[in-house]
Amino acid sequence: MDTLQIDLKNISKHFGNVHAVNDISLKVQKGSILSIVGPSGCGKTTLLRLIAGFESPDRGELQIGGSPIWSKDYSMPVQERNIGMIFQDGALFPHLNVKQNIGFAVSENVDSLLNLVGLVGKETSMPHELSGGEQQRVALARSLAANPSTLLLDEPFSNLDIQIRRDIRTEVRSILKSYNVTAIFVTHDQQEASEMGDQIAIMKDGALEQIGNPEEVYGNPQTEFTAKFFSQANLVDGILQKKTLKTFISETDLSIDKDMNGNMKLVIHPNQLSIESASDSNKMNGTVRKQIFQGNEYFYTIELENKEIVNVLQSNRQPIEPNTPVKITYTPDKSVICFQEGAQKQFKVNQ
Amino acid sequence: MLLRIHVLFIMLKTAALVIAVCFSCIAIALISCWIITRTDLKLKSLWSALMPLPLVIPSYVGAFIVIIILGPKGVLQKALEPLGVSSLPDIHGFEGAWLTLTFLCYPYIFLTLKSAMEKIDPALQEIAQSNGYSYWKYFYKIELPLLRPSIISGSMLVILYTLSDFGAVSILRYQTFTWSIYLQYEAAFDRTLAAGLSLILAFIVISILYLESKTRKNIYYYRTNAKASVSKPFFRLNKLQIPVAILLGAILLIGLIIPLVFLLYLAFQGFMSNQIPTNLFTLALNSLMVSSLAAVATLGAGSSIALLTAKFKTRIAVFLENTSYIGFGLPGIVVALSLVFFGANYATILYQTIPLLIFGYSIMFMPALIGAFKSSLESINPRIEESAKILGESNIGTFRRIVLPLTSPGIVYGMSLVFLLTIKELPLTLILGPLDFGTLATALWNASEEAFFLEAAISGVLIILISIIPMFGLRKLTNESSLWTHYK
Repeated sequence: MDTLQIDLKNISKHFGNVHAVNDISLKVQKGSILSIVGPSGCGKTTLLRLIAGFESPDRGELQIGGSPIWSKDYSMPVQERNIGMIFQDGALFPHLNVKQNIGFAVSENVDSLLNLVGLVGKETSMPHELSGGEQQRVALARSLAANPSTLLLDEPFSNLDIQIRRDIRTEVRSILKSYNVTAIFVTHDQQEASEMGDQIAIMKDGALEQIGNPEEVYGNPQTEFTAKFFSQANLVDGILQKKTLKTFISETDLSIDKDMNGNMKLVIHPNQLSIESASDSNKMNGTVRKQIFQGNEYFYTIELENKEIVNVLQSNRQPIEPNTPVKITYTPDKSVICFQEGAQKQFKVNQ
Repeated sequence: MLLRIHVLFIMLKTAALVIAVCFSCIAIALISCWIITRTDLKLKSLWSALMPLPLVIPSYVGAFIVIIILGPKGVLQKALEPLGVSSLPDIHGFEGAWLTLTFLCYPYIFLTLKSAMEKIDPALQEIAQSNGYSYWKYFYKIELPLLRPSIISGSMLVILYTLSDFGAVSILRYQTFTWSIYLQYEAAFDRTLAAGLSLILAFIVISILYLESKTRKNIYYYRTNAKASVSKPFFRLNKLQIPVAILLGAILLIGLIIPLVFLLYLAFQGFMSNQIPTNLFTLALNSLMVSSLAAVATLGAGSSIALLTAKFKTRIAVFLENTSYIGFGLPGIVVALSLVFFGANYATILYQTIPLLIFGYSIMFMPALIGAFKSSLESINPRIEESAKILGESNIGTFRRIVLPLTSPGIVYGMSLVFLLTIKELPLTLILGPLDFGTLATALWNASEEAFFLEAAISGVLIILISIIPMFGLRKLTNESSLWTHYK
């Protein structure tokens, strides 16, 4: 099972002065899906285009299924790499109908693929007659028809409505799994990344910040960027004095052997905070600035009395209106994660 | 000394005609555009479809009709005879050329101006009026400055058309550069003066092409700023509906209806009185043949440049493309003359043969093809080609299965344009064609020179018929950017 399918070694690519991809190494096991998530312009699309062969790296080495597809003195043509790619806008051939699109490379399994992606009855429709979701289904079927060893998906759902996006995500994931395709899925949406990927890679400014399974990355962010961007966590200013970590809203006793001192940024997930309206001005330590209804929960933005801003996620029966003074409480888990001058530190909490 | 005075004289005459035509075109275009975009005139879309149509009339046909109607012993004079009018002022010369070119050229400004006026944000007017501007103050202070680049760009086309026109000025005997070059070429053994005049004209034209490309950039600037949609009609015409419609109708009557009706009437008379050109069939066949050959030859040369510039923006490709545009701007007579020199001195085998003629057409009309082909190439999403390649299709296969089918409408459009432009072409055919070789266009010109008006009309009707029919099929594909393609 654990055979290596995609192997990138020290890949770099620059355009002019921009280092679109900066010394990236990563491995994907056969049959596994890797989600690459990062803000727009972080180089994730360039990375896919390097693997596909539409661009050439400046240096590094690319292997697929154990054989090199790009190295300093060898570049396998796009056509021979046996890679599939699905683009953001589908890129269906506008002059061919659904059936002809799917059968562009190999016309044998068109009927079973139509069935697989749920487009039976649309064989003779032209691309412009299809909805965005249907277009992406055709694009998926067209890629699978060529029986690629590896599939690259470049934000394939970002042009779709939210509701369709949720459904198609799970559907596409199960199709990829049933075909045992190795895939790299690129997105800027961390939720989409967690749903689609067996592994998550966080990318920023052309470099990898962290790679791991979704729970690991969420619960144990290695960089401040990952904590903020992927886990959507608050980074609250704190001071560690001896064995106590103090922030404006909390004091936590840590279970450490030696006394430590220094400024820390404490990672607090929005659901680790809770608020209640404080009529007594002695108890209040913040004010609600924004309140967003999210179905089951409310997402609050709170301005603390020391001007720090934190986000809180909580399910209130009674929503708290903006400009209400509140008392905010932090309940830590068994351990806490801090950043001391960018370096990640993990401490057990004295219960 | 005499020579210098002669050149100066031609320059002044050309300048006078260019300036006069330009201003009268601006006036007609501005008034008709304003009426169509800013009032509640009825049947607007019909008017705006009809107003540019005089473009389809070749200048020599227009001039020929002017002679028929206003010339000595023309229709008008005969109609006035019972009233004791024995002669009219001679229409040959400045007045005739001015009249003919004005009504053939105003559509260039009309089309650029109309699209600009439609893009001006109606909110501007509301803001101005809420600040106490009267409508005319708003128009003068805000709208007119916004329209200026479009007016200038349209005027450049009018200037180029007038400078390059050979048909109208030769039939109406007004000595601009083109007609003088032809006279020198025909009359003198020493062709140095013709060459000198050509050089001056080419220089003027290239300078104007350069200026035109500059103003085009300005228009783009204004458009990206104005997000505007369709502006609401502001002026209610009420009782003026009919008078305003009559005004627009009068422009069309002079520019389109009278020429076509008279041409048809004369052609009909010619058929009835059996004054059909003896070799009409051969002439029509020749026209079709050279036009088709030109379309095919231009495709061969033009498509490679289009592919080169669309795919690789190398300096050589861009240079090639820009150079090819000069051919489009150069007057036919200049291209013709330079090819005569080339053929007579360096390619005597080709001199006065069909291949050299086709080569000349290709030089002149290649940009029409490049433009059409390139815009259809550029409209293909690059991801589509990449999809084909990653599915395993080779580069050649991708071109054959994806690029070719998707660009074929553009290719057909470009080839049709070259065909249409060639069928109407006069000076190049006249000078470069083999001895005793004639097309419908040269036959019309020769017949009107010798006052065989009925014969000329039959050729004219055939030219317009052949060139109008495909245009209806192409209308879907035409847009404002293809304005250039009607040029000449």
